Amino acid sequence: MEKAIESIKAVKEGKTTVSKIVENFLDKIKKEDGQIKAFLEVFEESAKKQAAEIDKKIAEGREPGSLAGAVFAIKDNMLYEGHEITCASKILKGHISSYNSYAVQKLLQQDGIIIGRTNMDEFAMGSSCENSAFAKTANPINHNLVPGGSSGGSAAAVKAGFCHIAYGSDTGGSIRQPASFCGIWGMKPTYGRVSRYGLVAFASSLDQIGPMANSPEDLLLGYKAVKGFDEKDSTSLRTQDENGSYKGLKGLKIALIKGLAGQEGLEKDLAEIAAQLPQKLSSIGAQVMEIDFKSFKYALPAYYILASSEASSNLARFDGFRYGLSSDAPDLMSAYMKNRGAGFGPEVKRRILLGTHSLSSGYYDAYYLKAQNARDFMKKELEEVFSMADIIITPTAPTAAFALGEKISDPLSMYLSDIFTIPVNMAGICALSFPYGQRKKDGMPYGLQIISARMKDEFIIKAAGDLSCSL
Amino acid sequence: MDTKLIDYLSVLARIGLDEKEKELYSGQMESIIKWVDQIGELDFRQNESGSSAAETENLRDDSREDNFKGREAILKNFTSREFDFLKVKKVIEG
Repeated sequence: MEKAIESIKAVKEGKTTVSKIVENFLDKIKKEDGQIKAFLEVFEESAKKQAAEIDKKIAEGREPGSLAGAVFAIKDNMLYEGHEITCASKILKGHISSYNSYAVQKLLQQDGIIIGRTNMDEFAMGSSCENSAFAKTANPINHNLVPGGSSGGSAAAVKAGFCHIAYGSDTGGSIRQPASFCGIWGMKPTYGRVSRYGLVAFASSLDQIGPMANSPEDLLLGYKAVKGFDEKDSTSLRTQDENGSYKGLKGLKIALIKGLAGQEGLEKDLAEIAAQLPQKLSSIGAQVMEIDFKSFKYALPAYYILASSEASSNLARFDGFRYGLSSDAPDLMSAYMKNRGAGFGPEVKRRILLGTHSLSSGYYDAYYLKAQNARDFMKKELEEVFSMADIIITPTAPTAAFALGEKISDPLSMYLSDIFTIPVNMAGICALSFPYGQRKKDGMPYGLQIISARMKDEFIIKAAGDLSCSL
Repeated sequence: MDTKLIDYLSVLARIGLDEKEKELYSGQMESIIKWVDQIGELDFRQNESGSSAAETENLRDDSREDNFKGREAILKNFTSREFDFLKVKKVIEG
C-alpha cells in the first residue's frame, strides 16, 4: 500500500485525485471490513464531499492543505462535529458531536480526509477491544486473535489498509499495545504535546492522543499533523520538540532494564529476542547499559488506582440527563442508578467501582495518595535514567496477540498486557512501538518499545526508524 | 469482599447492579484490591505527593467567545425536551 507521504506527493504532482484515493479506501473497507470490524462507522458521505472540495480547490489552481491526499481514521472518542461519537458505549449511542476536537480540527484545516471512527474498548478501558458494546474487532493478520486495545479498531484499520494513518488514545498503552499486536507503528507522544480538547476523558492526567501507521515516515507525518499548543487544554505544552539532537545509532546510549528477560508472563520467543538485544545493539555501535528500575513492579497497581480514580470522577458526567441513554425512573436517584447501570459495560463498572473505593473515606491515604507517591518515585527514577541514557528499549507487550475470549473473564491477566507501557504514561514521557520479531508457532508480530524523555518525540521516531532497518 | 461493600460502592458511584453482577464483581474486586495492595510495601514518607505528568500551567482569560455555533447541536443531544424547555428529573426532593 502507498504511504501517506507518497499519496500526498502524487496529488501534488497531479498524478491522482483525492477523490480517487478515497474511493479506493472505501472500496477496500466495503469488501473487507465485514470480517475485521475495524470501524464502528464509515464516514462515506462526508469523506467524499471533503475529497471533492479539495479536488475542486486544486482544479481551480488554489494551493491545497499540506495533508491533501492523506486519509485518516479516528478512534471513537475524538469529537468530529456533526458525526456520531459513542466511545463504544451504549450510554452514548446516538450522540452527535457538537464541535471538533483539536486534533480533528487540525486534520481538517490541512485537508486531511477523515474516513471513519474506529472500534475501541468502551471508554478506552481494556487491552483487546472486546469491551466494545457494539462489535468485536478481529486482528487483520489472524481473525481468531484480538487486535489489542483499547485502540484496537485504529490498529486494525491501519494494518488492513483501510486508511493511511489512524489516531488512537493512550492512557496506559492503548496505542502501543495494539500497534504491537497488529504489526504496525504506534506512538504515545509526550503528555501535553497533543491537545486533549475534544477527546472524551478517561484519566485526564494520563490520556494522550497519538498516531498509528505502517511506517516511521507516516508516523512522523501523523504526529506532526496534530501536535501543537492549544490554549483550550490547560496541560498543553508550549515547549518545542527537541529537534536535531539525534545523531544516528552509533554512540546512541541505550538502557535495558535488568532482569526483564526473566519477567513473569513474558512469552518464551520474546524472552529470547530480548536476551539477544544487548549483543545486537552493541554490534551496530550503540552504547548499551543495564539499569535497575525499582518502581517498575509498582507501576501497574499504582496505575490502576490512579486511572480508575480519575475515571470514576470523569465518568460521573454520564448520567443520561443532558445526553445519552435515558430510562424511565420515578426519582432522581433511581434514574442515576438505572441509566448508568444499563449504559456502562462490565469493565467500565469495575473501574468506576475500584476508583470509588480508592477515593472513598478511610481508603484515600492507603490507595490514592500512595499511588501518587509511587508515581512521583517512578518519574524521578526515569529522570535519572535519562540523565545517562538517550532511550530505553523494552518489549511493548509481554506476548503477541492472544485469542478472542482468552482473557475477557480474567481482568487481572488482561491488565498485565500493559506492564511495559504504563510507566511511560505515569511519567508523562514519550514512547513508540515498532514491529520486531515474531512468535514462532504462528508468525504473529512482536513489538519493541522505544522510550525517551519529554519532548524527545521526533528523536524516538528517527531512532526507531534506524533501529528497524539495522536490527 | 462481601456484597455489602459492593452495594455501598454501587450507591456511591450511582451505578445500579443486579444480584448476578454484585456477586461477580465482589469476587473480581477482591482479587484486584489484593493485587493493588502491593503498593503498601513501598515506603514513601520522604516523598511529596500531588504528582502530575504536566508541568505547565496554561491559564487563560475566562473571556466569552461569541463565535460558538454548537448551541443547537448540544440541545439536540438532550434526552428530554419540550419546546424550548429541557426536562430533567426533580433534583430537590420533597
